[in-house]
Amino acid sequence: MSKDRIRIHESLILEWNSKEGKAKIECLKCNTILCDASQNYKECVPYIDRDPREVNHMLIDPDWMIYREYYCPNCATLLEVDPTPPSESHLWDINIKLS
Amino acid sequence: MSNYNFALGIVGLTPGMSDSEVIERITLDVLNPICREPIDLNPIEYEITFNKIRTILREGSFALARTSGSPIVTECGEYMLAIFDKDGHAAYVTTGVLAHLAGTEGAIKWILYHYGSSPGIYPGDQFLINDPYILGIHTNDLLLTKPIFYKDELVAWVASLTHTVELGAMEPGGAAHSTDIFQEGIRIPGMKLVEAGEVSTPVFKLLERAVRDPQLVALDNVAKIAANNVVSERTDELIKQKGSEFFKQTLKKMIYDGEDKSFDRVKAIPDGVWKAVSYGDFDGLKRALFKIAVTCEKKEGRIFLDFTGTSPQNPGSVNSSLPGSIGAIFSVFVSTIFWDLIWNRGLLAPVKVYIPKGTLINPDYPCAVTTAPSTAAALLAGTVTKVVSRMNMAAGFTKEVCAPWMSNWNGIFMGGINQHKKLQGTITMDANGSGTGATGFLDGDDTAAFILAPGALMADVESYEAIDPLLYLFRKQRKDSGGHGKFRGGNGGEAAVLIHNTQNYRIGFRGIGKFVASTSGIFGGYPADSIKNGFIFRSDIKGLRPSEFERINTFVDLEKHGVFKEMTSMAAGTPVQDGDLYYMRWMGGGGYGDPVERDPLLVAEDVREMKISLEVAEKIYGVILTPPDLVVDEEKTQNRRMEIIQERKRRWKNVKG
Repeated sequence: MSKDRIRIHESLILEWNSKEGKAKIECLKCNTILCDASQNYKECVPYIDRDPREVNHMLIDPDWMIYREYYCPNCATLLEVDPTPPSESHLWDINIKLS
Repeated sequence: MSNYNFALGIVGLTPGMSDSEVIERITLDVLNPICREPIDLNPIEYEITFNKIRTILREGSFALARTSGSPIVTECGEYMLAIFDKDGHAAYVTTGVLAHLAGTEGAIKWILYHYGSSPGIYPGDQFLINDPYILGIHTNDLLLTKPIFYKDELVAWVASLTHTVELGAMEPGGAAHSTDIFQEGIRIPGMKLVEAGEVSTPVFKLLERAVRDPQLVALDNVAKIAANNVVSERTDELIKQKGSEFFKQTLKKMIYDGEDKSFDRVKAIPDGVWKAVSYGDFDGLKRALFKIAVTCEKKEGRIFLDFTGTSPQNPGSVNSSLPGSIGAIFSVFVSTIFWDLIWNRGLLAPVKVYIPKGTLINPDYPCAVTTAPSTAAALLAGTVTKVVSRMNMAAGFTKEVCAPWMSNWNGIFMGGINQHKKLQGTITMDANGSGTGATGFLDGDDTAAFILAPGALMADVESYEAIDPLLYLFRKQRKDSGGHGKFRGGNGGEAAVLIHNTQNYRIGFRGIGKFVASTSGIFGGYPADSIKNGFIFRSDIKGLRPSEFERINTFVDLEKHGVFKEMTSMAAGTPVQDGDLYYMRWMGGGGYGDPVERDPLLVAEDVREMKISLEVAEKIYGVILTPPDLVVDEEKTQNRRMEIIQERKRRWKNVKG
């Protein structure tokens, strides 16, 4: 398969950047480049560790689980909500290489 | 017919292997494409015959559902009927409990391996099997499989399975707090319930003596005998018309088609790696955090699922045996990426699975597993949904992308002496009406289906009330229970049930997902809300007038009639009596996309239809509605959504500081 543009997410695409000679992950909503395709985008965008009770999930124990929310740094689109223990690292959930 | 070693070479079995070796080989064999043989079929004749086989299985399903008196089967549809080639390869699986694909294949191969020579496999035999380490999931699932002979030649197998009310255990209805398999009821590793066409009275009697409710268990077994007989008789007629070679080749081609089409579809997925993790909060005995982790890699035309990183097996019953885990994975692939293909083993041919031994989704025998469908297997399905949906998006299968469906199953197991003064052990299946996950173009369905048994339903409350000492005060959808998102996860439900006309009864809960969110959203969608369980003991409700009784419609109403004792997500059977009540919530599906992108008109409709609250509309969706008609105030909505964006920017932080 040979593609230079793959939609990898509701709000993200993987696109070949001919200027830099490598693939980049971009926000589909505002075209902001988030990072190289070889990186975990979640380590390159802002995030909030939210207490689940803020979204009315009142029984979740915030010592056990928070909602880690990742955003586009430009348009602030909510990209992912990872329900995770607070101490966990940023899960690299999408890693695709253009070929 | 005395020797079936021809089937065993395919699986790599040799005489004298240990049970655990045999089980691992026969279970994982479902992931291997079958050996190809030349097929010479007229394509039109093949299509006609294939559809006849589907119709035969459908007729068998009706026979099963109409014969069984159990609401779990008759109304909820918790059964499976499937046809296999002579070596036990699944050629077509009807809807119902999809999670049993791997185990059912394995069960037939187990029978071939252990009983092929002695006592032998003969026309008219039907084998009963429910050992969760062979068949998967839990002891309640009881399989009856019948070899189909034409003249003296074995040509196929038919297997029917029901979720039986109970098969004995340390507690009525199951054993949520069991610590090994021996506490979870009778385990049958293959016995002839029917031998050469004659029902075996000793085996029937064995089951009668092993369970609390022999009547319903017997009815289920009679229903399966009927279903298998319908299928084998119709198959016999078909073979007489077409010839046995044509019939056998048709079964093979159904499997080949499944393999070819699934490999084709996988080709469209770009090479890559996807990961997902899900969490649970109860190990069967106590509160405990555990996880299921998966790394999914697409390469060389195949999908590799590696569950390294998953937590060790739990000390209680929050585990899933290997066949159940493979079956849970199959359920997800069937419901998402391969939903429109022939449902058979061929759909798993491009998939390779590695589950480390000693983990909660491949525990060591004799670990307890009875709550697998409520806990480990359901959570596994939710975890796999996350990676499969991301793969689907990258492949351009955007309509097959969805957030996880409810990834647990909050159930009631119960028993004792019922209102008819009869001993029973049973369960209610209300959580079959779970929320499904939202997709990129539609909300999830409310109180709709369960991922491991997508064809299963909730029974009418009256059906439970007729045979169990229960009176439903209410059972309904619960607003705000689905995951919020651009598309909302389907809502789950809640029920309050009064204990009625018994002084000797126990109610227990089996679920996970109270202190952690076990059903995730996707692409910015939120997880579904938690489950909740508890009792009000000695409520004053039975003394109320009918008009007062009918005003009890919410959890808040309940609290006016006694003190609510909150229970953990899983709780052993608790003694209850007339006038006590239990309350339980089950989950919705995960949300899809950023909630502030949701069409405000859909949010208004949700509020009007009581699917979300006014508070959530404003707080999470950023939609301001003007009373009394709840019309969208566009200007205030725009301002509120801007506030939410600003609040995000004010609070967020970066990984690198």
